Amino acid sequence: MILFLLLSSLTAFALETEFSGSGELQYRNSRNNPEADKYFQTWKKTEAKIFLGQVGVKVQHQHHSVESNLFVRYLETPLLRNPNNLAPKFYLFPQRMVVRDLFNLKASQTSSRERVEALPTKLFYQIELEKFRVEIGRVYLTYGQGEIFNPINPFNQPTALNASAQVAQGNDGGTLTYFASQKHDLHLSIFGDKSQGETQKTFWFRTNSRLSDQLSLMLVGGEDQKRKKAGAEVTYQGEEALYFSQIFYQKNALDQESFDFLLGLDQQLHSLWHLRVEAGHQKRFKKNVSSDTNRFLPTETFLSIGNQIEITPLLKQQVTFIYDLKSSFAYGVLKTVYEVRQDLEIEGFFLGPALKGGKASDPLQEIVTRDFGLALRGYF
Amino acid sequence: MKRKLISRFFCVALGAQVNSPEAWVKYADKEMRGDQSETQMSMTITTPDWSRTLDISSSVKKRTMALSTIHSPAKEKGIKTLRLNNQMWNYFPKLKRKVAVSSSMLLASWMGSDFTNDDVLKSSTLSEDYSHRFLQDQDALKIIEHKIKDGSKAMWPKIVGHFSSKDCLPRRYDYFDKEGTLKRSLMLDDIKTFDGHKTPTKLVMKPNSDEKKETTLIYHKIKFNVDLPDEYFSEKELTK
Repeated sequence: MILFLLLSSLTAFALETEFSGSGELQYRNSRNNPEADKYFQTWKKTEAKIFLGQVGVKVQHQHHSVESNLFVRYLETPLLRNPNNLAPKFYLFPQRMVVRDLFNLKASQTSSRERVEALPTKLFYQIELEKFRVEIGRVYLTYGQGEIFNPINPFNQPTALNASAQVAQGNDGGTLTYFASQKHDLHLSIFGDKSQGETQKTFWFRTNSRLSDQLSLMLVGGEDQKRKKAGAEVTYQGEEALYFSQIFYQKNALDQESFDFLLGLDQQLHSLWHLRVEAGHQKRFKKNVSSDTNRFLPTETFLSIGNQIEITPLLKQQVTFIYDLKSSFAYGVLKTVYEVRQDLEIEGFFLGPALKGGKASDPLQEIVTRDFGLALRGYF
Repeated sequence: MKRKLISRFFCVALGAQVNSPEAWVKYADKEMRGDQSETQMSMTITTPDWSRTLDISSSVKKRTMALSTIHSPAKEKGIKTLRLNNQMWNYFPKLKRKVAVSSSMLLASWMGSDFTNDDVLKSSTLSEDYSHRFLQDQDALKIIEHKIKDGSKAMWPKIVGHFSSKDCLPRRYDYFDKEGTLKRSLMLDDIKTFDGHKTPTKLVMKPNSDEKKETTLIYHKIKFNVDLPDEYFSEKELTK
């Protein structure tokens, strides 16, 4: 009888648990830009070894769930000997894995040759009701169509130009979502960031509206770390392609105003060939070359063309080219991914400048390295 | 002999009075698609050197709404695709990211298989997107040519279907491109009945360009007697 009651109660409170994760080993061979000398980047060539590991757990009971993702990153390179070397920042993009950080749950250690960090990038409780969803804790806020440049989302940086796959940044706080109908939903978020000492608050809203069978509109805005921000994204489903555009306004604490723009196209040209074009403008305020950059690549007005071609079901080729219209600087990304077996893939990559920038180039464009590498990725 | 003779001219399931290609196609569409359905299936891509299996579930309402989820392998686990009329979104649960995708993606191969997104999300139907005519009768088969209607967004200009006179269901489809070249063939087999609907549960797609490659789709479970509210095909369900 006792056993029966015990089994019944266990069944009644049965928890569904899901584990998932990935591991990535990366080897890079980097060559420095000769012009980086003037920014005290005096090394010529080097090697780096990177490991990225993620373990996710989701525990669910009826409408309640807890989701987490533990992120571990290891870098080994002689460049760490000199803190002025900027290349490790590109290797470890995005550098801040939690962009609105209240709790600093990070463990990290740096020596002259190695850096290791471990932290949860996602750890939240969620309750799902008929029309509402509430998430509290460390959450991802990933929205927006831009893969190279996605100005309307200050909470997650696009990683298409980087070699690492499936990485997202966390935010401490919570989000309330109201699903009004099949056509409209509203998201309200409150975040805090204590990484600079004083707590900086973020109040953010986002609405999604399907205006017709072709047209969708997203509006975002709020106060984010003492900056007023607002933006919109329009997506239009054409006959042959998806078109999207973004506009984003912000005013910082120094009353400097800026508008960022993005125009894009996404099209399956052929059953095996996918094309993506993005063109955008980001106002850049002058800053020290060694200061952190939020974006992987500094370009003010750019055009990018990305192609993904399925050579065989196991072999895919990605070719992306991004061109800065103001400085003529161009950057190329070549990735060849081969699926060794189910859930295990190997990637060969090249990332580096394809054209040298002119006088108008951003100093950061002159320190971008040329990297060849291999990555081995497994999923479970 | 009499039965064989009868089946040469019409299908018993359709009734003796009906013998138009439209009626055959409409019947097959109704049996195999229904108005609404929930399906659990596995897809195996096979070549001489390797094979890969995906487990998928899919919910379809009419031809305008579809939601599919990949359950394995691990790399793609949880990826969902929602289609509402012309609009499509993919959701990547590990990043909690939803992105709109071009409906031209319907042309793309589904996860490296010989099936397209359109085959899985069922945005086009033979009965509504094509016009039909009988080509010829064989003993046990009715051969029907399906030609794309003007203005239809279906991807194949011409399909030739081989229908069994026994149950009026297709056993083979040949897909042709604009030049009239045979590009792929779909063999349908293992007819089972779910909720009163007879449907083939083993579909083998072979590309004409590579005889050694094929993709096998097995339907494990199909529910036709479902009542899926429109709200099910929404952001909430996509991002759950």
